[in-house]
Amino acid sequence: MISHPANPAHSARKGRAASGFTLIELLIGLVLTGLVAGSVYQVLLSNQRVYRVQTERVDLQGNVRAAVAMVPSELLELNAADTVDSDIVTLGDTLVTYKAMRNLFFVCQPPISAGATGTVVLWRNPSYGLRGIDSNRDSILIFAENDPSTRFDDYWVHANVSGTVATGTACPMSAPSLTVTLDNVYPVGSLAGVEEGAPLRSFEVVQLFTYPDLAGAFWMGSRVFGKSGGWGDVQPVLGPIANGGLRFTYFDANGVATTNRSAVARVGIQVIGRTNEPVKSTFGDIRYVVDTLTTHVALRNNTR
Amino acid sequence: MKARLRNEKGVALAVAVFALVVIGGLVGGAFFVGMQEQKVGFNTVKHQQAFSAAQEGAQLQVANWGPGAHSQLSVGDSVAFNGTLSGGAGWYRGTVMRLNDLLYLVRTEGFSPDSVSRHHTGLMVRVRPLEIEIDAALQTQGKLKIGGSAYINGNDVPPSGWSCDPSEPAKPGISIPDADDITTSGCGGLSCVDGDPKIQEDPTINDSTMTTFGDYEFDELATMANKLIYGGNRKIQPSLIGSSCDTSDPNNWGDPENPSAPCANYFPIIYSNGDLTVNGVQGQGVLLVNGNLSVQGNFRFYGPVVVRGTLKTTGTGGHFNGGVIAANVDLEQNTVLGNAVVNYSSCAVAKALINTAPGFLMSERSWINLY
Repeated sequence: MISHPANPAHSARKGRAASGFTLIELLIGLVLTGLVAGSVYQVLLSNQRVYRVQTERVDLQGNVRAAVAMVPSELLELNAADTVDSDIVTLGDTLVTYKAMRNLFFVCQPPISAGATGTVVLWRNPSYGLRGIDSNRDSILIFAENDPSTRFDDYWVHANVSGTVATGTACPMSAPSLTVTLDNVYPVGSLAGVEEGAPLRSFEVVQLFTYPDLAGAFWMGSRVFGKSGGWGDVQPVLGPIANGGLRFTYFDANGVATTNRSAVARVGIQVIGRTNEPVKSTFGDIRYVVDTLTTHVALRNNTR
Repeated sequence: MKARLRNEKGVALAVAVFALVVIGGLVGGAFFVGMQEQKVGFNTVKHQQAFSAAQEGAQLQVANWGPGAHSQLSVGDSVAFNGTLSGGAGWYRGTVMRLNDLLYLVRTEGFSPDSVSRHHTGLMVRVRPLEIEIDAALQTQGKLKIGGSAYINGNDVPPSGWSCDPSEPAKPGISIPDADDITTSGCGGLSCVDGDPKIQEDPTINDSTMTTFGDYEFDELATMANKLIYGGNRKIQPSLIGSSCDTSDPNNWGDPENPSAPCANYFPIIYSNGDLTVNGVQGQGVLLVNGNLSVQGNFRFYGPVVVRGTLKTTGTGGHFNGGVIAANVDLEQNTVLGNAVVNYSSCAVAKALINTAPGFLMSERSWINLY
């Protein structure tokens, strides 16, 4: 290389070059940056894992909690010991079929009774429930007072809603009414014992059970029995749950396990919830996390 | 002098800011998840508080359902109630609605203390009427004297102006163990007695049958009384506070002869512990007298009457619409004189028994989730 010591411009370039990074410096800088970035990445990764586990666990706990809130609220209202027919239609370890109460009406004039058929007129106000009477899937229960001087002959008449539910003003003082036609009245002729003001409850037959989805995850589902088409579509209630993660046990009034649907006084419900995705456990392995919750429901409306 | 650092080169600040952003995001995410979980837990607690408040409100109504409670309600009418749980754990409001003679709906809305959660529930209550069997217009165990223009009628007579079921077959005018114990004056051929038959001899009438009424003994009936008096000479008539029936007045036994008046649906169980003299005017319900009952001044009563001592009517006498049972081991003599009338009335008896009945949850399907 030719040197030009007398050239001032050359001297200035030489000064700037002295203030730059050496290769060693650059390498050290790169390594340090890499270490910092790697650490940050590890922290990020770890936190993402924790966040995901947290989210999965929150979902899991929410699921199990929902099971405890929803299932008992329906079973609570059952009367397994109904003197005419139990509200529990079938009972099993992994499913239960029952008459789910849907609304409450009151009779506004004594029903027309013709053996196994009849007509009943109801007040539209007051009435309670999430929906009206659906003739395609509802049946009814009506309280029969029979002899007013004794309570020992009281019972609930069972009947099928056979036709359309007509609105009108057939109640006293032309008040808004619902007229419901019935068949399969049981006991036959028992509508004669129904008085004005008697409560009427409509119900649909619901089944709670476990089913797998296409990915192989299990869910708690419910379906409603339709009068014409049989069981309707399965509605997912909650999940995912573990395989065999929904179990029912039935006990009579003495606390003894029973398979007699009319003797059930208490239902035990066990739900084993499962996370949506496998997550890293505290031991380092990656797996589904499960949580188990067991509750018991005393059937409040059982005959005393 | 400290040298001032002028070199601003390097990536430390950028890295620090980046790290802060990342850490902030992670902390924020964790905070969000935590908040969500806390909210779910909070809502669960609130819902449970509302559910408990609704339960307590409804159950308290039934637990405190004394004899004749809410009997003043007409069918279809309702009365409101409300309350707060101890410790401020929630509150409730609701109504008791009369559905028919025997059935009531207790509808309760329960709320969490801050009112953000609500639960709506219902209880069906059936009243259980007392079982006082009226087998005759006048049933007595001892001697009976009938005089003046007194009249004892076993035919079913509905009270004037009352809404009643069809009349029942006639009952005996008088039921007594031994007809020889009846003394009459001015009542030739028992013209002052009517019924089917006019007189029924029933040798099975004894102390027990005259003091036992269904599931209850006389003393148990007395404990159910909501109008407790200690004898005396009384003028019985309806009374009001403003436009409402004054049920606290010991001399107010309802208003049977004015069906639209405020006290028309008030049917008390009256228990007199001692001799009682009544001098007018009118009353209804169940009258239990642990002693002698003397009636004058054209007193009219509607409902069953049980007297453990002597029943005596004098002067313008009294009118009993329902049935009278005079029961006493040492019963001396029942005297029905003056222009007294004892009418059998299934309607008056039924109304009195229904409207003095204590309430109980229906034996099945009493609990309703009203949403």
